Amino acid sequence: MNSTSTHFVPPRRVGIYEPVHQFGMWGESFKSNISNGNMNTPNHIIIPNNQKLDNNLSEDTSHGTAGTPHMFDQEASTSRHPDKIQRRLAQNREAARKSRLRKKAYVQQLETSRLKLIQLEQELDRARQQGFYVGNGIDTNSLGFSETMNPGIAAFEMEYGHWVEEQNRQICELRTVLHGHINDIELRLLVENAMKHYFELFRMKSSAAKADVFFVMSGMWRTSAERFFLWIGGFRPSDLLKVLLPHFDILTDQQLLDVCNLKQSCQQAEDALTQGMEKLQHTLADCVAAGQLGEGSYIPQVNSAMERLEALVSFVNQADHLRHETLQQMYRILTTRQAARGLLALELFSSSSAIATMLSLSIATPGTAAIFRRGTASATSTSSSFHGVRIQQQVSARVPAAAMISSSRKPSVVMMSKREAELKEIRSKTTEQLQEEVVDLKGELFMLRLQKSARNEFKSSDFRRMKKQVARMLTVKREREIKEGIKKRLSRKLDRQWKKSIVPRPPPSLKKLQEEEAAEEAAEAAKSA
Amino acid sequence: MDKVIRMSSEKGVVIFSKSSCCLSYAVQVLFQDLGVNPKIHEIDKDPECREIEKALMRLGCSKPVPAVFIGGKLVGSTNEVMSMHLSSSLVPLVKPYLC
Repeated sequence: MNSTSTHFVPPRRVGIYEPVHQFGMWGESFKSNISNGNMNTPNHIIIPNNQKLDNNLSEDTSHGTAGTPHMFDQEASTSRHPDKIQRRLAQNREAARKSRLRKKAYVQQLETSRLKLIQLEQELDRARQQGFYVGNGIDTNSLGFSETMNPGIAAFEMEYGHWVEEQNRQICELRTVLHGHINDIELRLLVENAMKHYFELFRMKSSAAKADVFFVMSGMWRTSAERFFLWIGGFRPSDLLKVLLPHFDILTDQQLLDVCNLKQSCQQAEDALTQGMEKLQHTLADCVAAGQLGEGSYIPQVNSAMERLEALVSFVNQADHLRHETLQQMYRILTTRQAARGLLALELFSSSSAIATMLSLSIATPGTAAIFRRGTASATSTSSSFHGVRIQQQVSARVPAAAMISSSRKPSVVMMSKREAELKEIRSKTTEQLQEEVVDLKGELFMLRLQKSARNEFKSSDFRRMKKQVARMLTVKREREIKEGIKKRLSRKLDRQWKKSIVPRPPPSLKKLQEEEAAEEAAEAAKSA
Repeated sequence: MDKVIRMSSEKGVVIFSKSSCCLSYAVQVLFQDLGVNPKIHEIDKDPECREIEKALMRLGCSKPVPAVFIGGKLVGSTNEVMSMHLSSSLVPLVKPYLC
C-alpha cells in the first residue's frame, strides 16, 4: 500500500516539482523496497522523505522530523483512502502549477501593454504639438461617431457629452420649477446658470476650433438633422430670435422695441459675417486649388494659407461671440420668468426642428424612422441633443400625416344632432378613406402629445375627442367587415397587415404650420429682397 | 503713430483693414449696411505697414485689423463692434456720419 503518499513533502520545500508519473514511479519503487525490505532505494529523489519513509514504515510514533507527527496522524486517518488522497494532492499540484504559468503569462501581457501605452502616449504628445492626425491605434469613441483621431477633438467630444448631460439636467430642473412656484431670486440664479452653461459651450468650441477648425465649422459633433440648420459652426443668431419670440405673448412696448432693434442688428451682423465668410471660402478654395495647403509648397504660400486658416478660426469665434451677445441681450431685455421659458423653448427648438424635418420627408417608413431613431438613440451622451422628447417608440410605430376631421359640424337643414351628423359623414366614406383618416388622426394625437411634453398650449379635450373619433371610424369599418362576413380572426389579421403597411407622413396640423412658416419666409424674403 | 492718429481723424468712420483679412471685410459690410460710408485704409498696401500695425496694437487692439475708429476715437476690433451693435449703442455713435 502506498501510504507514503501522505509523507510527500511539498515541492516548495525541496524546490523540485514532482509530477504525478514520477510519484507513481517512486511509489512503485517504494513498493519494491517494502517487498525487498530495503530501505535505501536508489530511486529516491527527495532525501528528507527517506527519513520519513523510515518513520512511516516502522509505524511507530514519530521520530523527530518536524512534519512527521502530523503526517502520521494523517496517515492513520486516511489510510483507508490513500488513492483518493493521492489523486487530490496530485490535482492540487497540477492546479498550482497551471495557475503559476497563467500568472506569468498575464504579467508578461501587462508588461507589453504598458510598453505599448508609453509609446502611444509619446506619439500623442508629438502629434498634439504638430496638430496632425494620429494613427488608428487609439480607440476614441465606443459609439464610433468621431472619425477623427485628433486628440483635441476627442477631448471636445467627451466634454460635449458631459455638456449635453448637464444641459438636460438644467432643463429638467427649469421645467419642474416653472410649473411649481419659485421666487424670482432662485429662478434668476437658475437662468443665469443656464446662460453660463451656454457660454461654456462657446468656450469649448473655441478651443476645439484651434484643434480642428473644419470639424467645428461643419458641426460634426451634432446629428445630421441639426447640421441642416448650421451657420458657421452653430445655430443662426437670428434663428434664435425667431424661435424665442412666439413664446412671449405679453411684451411691454419697451421690450418690443428692444427686441425689434435686436432682431435688426442681429440680422445685419449675421449678414456681414456671412459675406465675410463667403469671401474667405473663395480665397481658401483658391488656396487649395493652387496647392498651397499641400506639402511641398513654398514657405510664403504656406504662411498665407496658415493665415487663412487662422482667419477661419477667428470667424468661428466671431460667430460664437455673436451668439453669445444675442443670448446676453435677450436676457437683458426679458424678465427672468420669460427668460426661463425662452430657454425651454430653445431646447425644444433643437429637438423639434429635427422632428419636423424628419416628418416632412415623406420617404418610406423604416428607412427614415430607423435613421431618426438611430440619431436619437445615439443620444446616450455624445452627439444628439434630442433630450426631453422621447418619441422613438411612437415614431417607429405611427408616424402619420393626418387630416383632421371637421368634427364640429353645425346642424344642417335636416336638424341632425352633432353626433349623428358626424356618424353620417363617417359612414359616407369608403374604407380606404377611413383608414387614411385614422392615420391622420393618430398623427394629430402624436402632435398633441408633443405639445403636452413641451408644455405648450394644448386643449386637453382634444385627446378624448380624437380618440373617440378614431374609435368611431374603426367601429364603422368593423361593421362593414361583419356585413361581409369576416370573422374575428381574419379581421385581426387584416388589421395587423394594414398597420404594418402604414407610411409615415406629417399630420395636417404640422403641414399647416410648415406652410405658414414657408409663407412667412417667402413674405420676409420678398420684403427684404 | 501720429500717422495713425491723423488717418483716424480724417473722416467720421475709419476702418483699418488688410486686403487678405475677411473679418475686416465683414466689418466693412456691416457699416455699409448701416448706411455709413467708412474710410477704409488697407494697411498692407501702405509702405509703413509694420509701423501702423504696431501702433494699432499699442493703442489697445489685440489684433491690428480690423480696427475701427469713430469720430477719431478707437472703438475696437470685431468683437467690440458686434457687442456694441447688438446692444444698440453703435447706431447712435455713427448717426452723425450717416450719408
